[in-house]
Amino acid sequence: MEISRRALLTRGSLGAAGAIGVMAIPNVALARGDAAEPELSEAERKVLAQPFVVHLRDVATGELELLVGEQSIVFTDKKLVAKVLRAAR
Amino acid sequence: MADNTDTYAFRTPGDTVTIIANYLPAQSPAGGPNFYEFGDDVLYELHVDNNGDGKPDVTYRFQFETAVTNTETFLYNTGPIGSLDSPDWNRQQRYRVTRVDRRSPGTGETVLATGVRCPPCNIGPRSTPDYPDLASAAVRTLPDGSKLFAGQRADPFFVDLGSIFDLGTLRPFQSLHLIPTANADGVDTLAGANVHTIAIQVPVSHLTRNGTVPTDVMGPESVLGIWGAASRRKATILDDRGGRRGSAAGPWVQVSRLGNPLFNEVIVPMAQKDRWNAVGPDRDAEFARYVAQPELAKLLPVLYPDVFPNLAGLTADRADLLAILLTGIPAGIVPGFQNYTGPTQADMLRLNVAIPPSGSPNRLGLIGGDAAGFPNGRRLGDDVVTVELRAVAGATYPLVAPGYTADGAAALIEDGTWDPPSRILLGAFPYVGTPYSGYEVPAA
Repeated sequence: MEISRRALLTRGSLGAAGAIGVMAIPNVALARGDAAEPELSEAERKVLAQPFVVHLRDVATGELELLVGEQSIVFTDKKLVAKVLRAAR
Repeated sequence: MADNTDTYAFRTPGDTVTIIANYLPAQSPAGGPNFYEFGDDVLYELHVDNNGDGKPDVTYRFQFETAVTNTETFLYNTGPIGSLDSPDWNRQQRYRVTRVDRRSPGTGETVLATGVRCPPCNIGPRSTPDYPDLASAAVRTLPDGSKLFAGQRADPFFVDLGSIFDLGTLRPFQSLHLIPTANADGVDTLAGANVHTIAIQVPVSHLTRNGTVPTDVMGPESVLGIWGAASRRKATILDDRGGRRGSAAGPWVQVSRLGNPLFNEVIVPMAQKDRWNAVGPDRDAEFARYVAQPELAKLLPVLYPDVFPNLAGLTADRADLLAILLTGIPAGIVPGFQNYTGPTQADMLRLNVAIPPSGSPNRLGLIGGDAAGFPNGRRLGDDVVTVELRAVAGATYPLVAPGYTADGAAALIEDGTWDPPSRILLGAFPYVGTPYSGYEVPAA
């Protein structure tokens, strides 16, 4: 399932209601920094105003866990993981 | 802050149940200048399972918020604290209580109360001059008659930790130990120590599976499984812009739980404690082998040569302990009694609410002929250490294996710290006694 950053943030904002719980979201386009990526809306910024932690759970599989509100969202993005690891070198 | 030390559950007058969970153990009353308090970053929960699956059906959630009223002082109080909203009390704590009923549609969540004030710690005669009244003001009665309390108390648990954890030193057998010492009286490690208590008193009908007040002791609907827990957020970010407030993210992760006394401490191996504390009682089948073959029961015949010969020969799984601690005692074991919750193995206090409070409690509870006491729930005065030590030593095994004769020593074991006059208990909710003052009891 390909989803956009906007869609992910929308899902994140629903987390306060506990509606999603843990879910797998493959191939997330989160924070790719694409030139075409639109600016964040005010609603999206509000979501980001709360603590927002991304936990790299498994380098081999590219599994990441997004912690926002009281929600845990697990997804896989090997490209993003590679980018993060290169940034950490 | 998140260490759940003891949980108590017992029938109280007016068809109510009182549940008490204590946290933050072994407080030195003179623990200034910051003193003790609940954690704003901790979710405290009292769970009730009323259908025997080891999962909570009804939960009471407590969440705290602390406010510093005077940002220019290091003092806990800048004058005598005469009321719960005294401006001289510099570190005031309030809480919110939510009831979660998983039988209800939707989230099942109901906010019972917000902004409920905790009492301060008992500092001393100048700072908290009329502490009992101050604490009484912190008892909140809800419209349905339920009562709430959260705050510092004198720790009601009594135990000689120094003796038990010095290679299993038991009274009255110190002189018979592999490394003998003279026999001596017990020393209550927690005498003079405070703890933080969360207590609720609610109608029985709010907890049972069918919403009634059961009267049939042998009915399955009469038994509740009860435990306390504490959770922290999955991630916490420390930053340089003002500490931890607002920096938590992710779901709550359980870090502590407690049903039966000493289950965590004496049954669960050290290497597995973190996992045990993270999962719910419904997962306790994973740990059942440590109940069936308890380490302490194997050690006793070694530590006390010739004192426990029958226990030394007992190699079968301990069906008595599995029942007492993990499933409840089924009908037919103790005449007229049961607190069986079904085959799911789960460490919970099991309270048969059809049994009324006892007018003359026996400290040994059920094995002392008093069905209103441990392991039928747990009262503040129950000598649970003695009861459990005797049970582990084989005293209760004949209940399930009539051919087994318990060693005479098993019925003689004493923790040696049960001493009612030294325990400060109240006659009414929250029952746990007034905390020791820091001025009068400078060291725990």
